[in-house]
Order: sequence, then C-alpha cells, then structure tokens
Amino acid sequence: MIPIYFDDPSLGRDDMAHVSQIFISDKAGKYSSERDLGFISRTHPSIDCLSPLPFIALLLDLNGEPKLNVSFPEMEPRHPETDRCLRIYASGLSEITFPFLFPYCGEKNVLPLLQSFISKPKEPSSNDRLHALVKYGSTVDAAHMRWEAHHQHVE
Amino acid sequence: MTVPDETVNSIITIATQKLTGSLSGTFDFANTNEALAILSQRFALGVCFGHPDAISYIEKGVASHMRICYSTTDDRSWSYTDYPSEPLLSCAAAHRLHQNHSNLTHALTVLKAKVDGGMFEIGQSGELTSRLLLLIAKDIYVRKDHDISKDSYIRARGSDDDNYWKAELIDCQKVSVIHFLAHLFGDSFWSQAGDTAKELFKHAYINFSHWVPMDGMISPGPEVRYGSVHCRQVFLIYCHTATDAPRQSGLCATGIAQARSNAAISSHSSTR
Repeated sequence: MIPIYFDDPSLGRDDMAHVSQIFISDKAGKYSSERDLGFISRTHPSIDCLSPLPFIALLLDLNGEPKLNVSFPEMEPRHPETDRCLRIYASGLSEITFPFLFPYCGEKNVLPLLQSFISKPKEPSSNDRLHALVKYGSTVDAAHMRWEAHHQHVE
Repeated sequence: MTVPDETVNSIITIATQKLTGSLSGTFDFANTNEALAILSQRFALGVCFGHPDAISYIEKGVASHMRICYSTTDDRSWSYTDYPSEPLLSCAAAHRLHQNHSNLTHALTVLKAKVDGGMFEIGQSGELTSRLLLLIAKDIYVRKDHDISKDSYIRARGSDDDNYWKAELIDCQKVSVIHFLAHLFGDSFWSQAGDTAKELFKHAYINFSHWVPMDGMISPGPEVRYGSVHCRQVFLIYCHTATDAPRQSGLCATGIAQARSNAAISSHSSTR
C-alpha cells in the first residue's frame, strides 16, 4: 500500500481527511489474474480504509504478456462503500508495459535482473512427473517377473 | 544568509558511511554487505533463516551497517532485528544506489546471487520484484531532471529560499500521482484513464522512500497506522496474501510468513 495525500485546502485542516491509498496486488502466476483486479476493495475487513477520496488499485501480473488496462467508472456513485477507484492492470515486466525501463534494458541490464527475480525453474509436465513416479512399477520384463514369482514362492 | 552547501551533503555523507560501514565516497563493488545494506534498508529484503550465511549477515548488519536489534527473547538466544524506517537513511541509500548508472546494476547483481543461493526470499507472487520496480521507478522519476552525481537535495523555491534548511531531499519530495503514473506506464496512461480520473487526482501526491514490512491487516486504526508516518510521508507498506487466491481481499491477509521473518528472528548469537 502506498499512501496518497490530496493537497487540497478545501478538504480542511485534518490531515487524515487528505489521505487515500494505492493498493497493490502482486501476481506472478502462469495465467492472467486480470479478473482479480475487480476484487480489490478498501471496504474489505482486512483493509477497511474508508474515505470519500478516490483511490487506486494496481494489479501487477508480472509473468504475463505485456498489457496495460486502465479503467475508471465514470458513473460510480460517490459513496464510501462503492467509492471511486482507478483500476490498473499491468501485465508483463517489460519496457512495453513500463516504458521508464527502456533505457535500462541494454548495457545497464536492470530489466533482465528484475525479471530474474520472478522466474522460477521450469517444472516438468504432469505427464513427465507421473511417468517418473510410476517407473519402478513398470518393470514387467521376464527377468523381473521370474524374480517376483520366486520371491512369492519363497514366502 | 550564506548557504553552507556542505551542511546537507555532510549529513547525507555521514548517513551513507554509517549504512555502508565504509568511509569511501563510492560504491565498493567487492563488498557485498555494502550493496545488501543499501538494498535492505529500502526494499525490505526477507532473509531465509535456514541459509548458512543468514545469521552472520544479520550480525554483521547490526554491527556495521545500521541494522538495529530491537528485541531479544528472555534467554537472549534469539534476537529480532530489522532496518529502521528512517527517511534520511533511505535518502542516503538512494543517493548511493543512483550515484552513477552502474551502481544499481551492481547492487541488483549482488542481490541476484544471494537470491539464487537461497539467502533472500523473492515471495510467492513476485513481491520482491514488485517492491523493486515501484521504488526504482520513483527513484528514476525524481532524478529525471537532476544530475545524479551531484547533491542529493534540491533547494526549496519560494520567498523563503535563502533558508538553506528549506532544502528538500530529492527522495523525500512529494510527487504528483498524475506525473508518476505517466512516468511508470507511459504518456498514453491518462488518455486511457480518462479526463475525469485525471481531474480527480490533480491534487494527489505520493511521497515514499522505502518499504516497511507489515504483519497483519492494514485495518483497523488507519490513524495509528499512518498517523506517525504520514507527517513524514515517506513510506510504503507491504503485506502478503497467504495463498495465491486473494479473491476476497485482493490484497492483504494475516499471519504471513515473510512479514514475520522480516520482523526477524536472527540468531543464536549468545549461545555461539
């Protein structure tokens, strides 16, 4: 969460009446989380930062394809429960979504370093995993079967 | 009044020396602790306590790099440490990090090696990257029109501008939300957001220099949470969802491992 301060004298002298927030949700999954952006609400009990001032919800979907989607409901009623929110969906850690990084892609190498903090080792597919796990049960050639039969006979 | 140019700079220099544990005026590329101290103070790096170097890193941080030990258990076998939420120290760290263009790359390279070695957490959902991205974006924004090798402050403008104490640290200036979002996402951002949104946020400013880990929910008591902080207007909070399915809160949940580890059980120092 990043606090926002509205420097507007018409809001009065109480500093807290000038405060709003940017709420940031991080994602780095395989699939798009764009739908989750709509669930960010400051009326949720875990946040509960009610204010008549507009706020910002930012969903960073760092592993996705480059995409920026911004929405601001023009007709949303001004009410603490459904107050005005600038919703930003920013997908893909690249100079396309974040143009300020453009000078930091080449020699300065900052962008690849940032990207490296979200990359996780490639996992084997579920088929490969299953195949590996049941491999020991697949020893059905003649030699193994003879041994198995003998083993059972001894018992 | 004559302005002693050295006054603000000398304070920043002392803060930088205390943080880096070095009298050098430049980044010591061979000293990984220096890079980690600068990053830890601002980006709330989460230490993995199972790592063999974790305890020595934290002990060294307390001894030489301004990390503070704020509590111990009764038997003193465990100590709790973290970096203080101190904007001046953050400004000193930011100044060193951006003193020249290679410092940031160097510091991130050091961090990358430590992350690969398992000493720092990156989070389940790219939290570390997100913290780096947003704060570095703001660092770069405030330095757009400022010579990075020069002072870390700008003079206040206005009728009282002969008062040098009105100088403003560049990392503690308020930043227009409209300008920051255009910097972060590009000039077309506000054409997507629309004129109504732009008009509503025309008086909105942010001002942050470091992240503060938070254990638990943002609510209740926003007065308590930002009251002491907002007068200095220089922080951000992060907390973590326990699962990757924040369908209800979208944001914060309780009892999160990384936030606890940042609060930091550090060492068995008294028993070693």
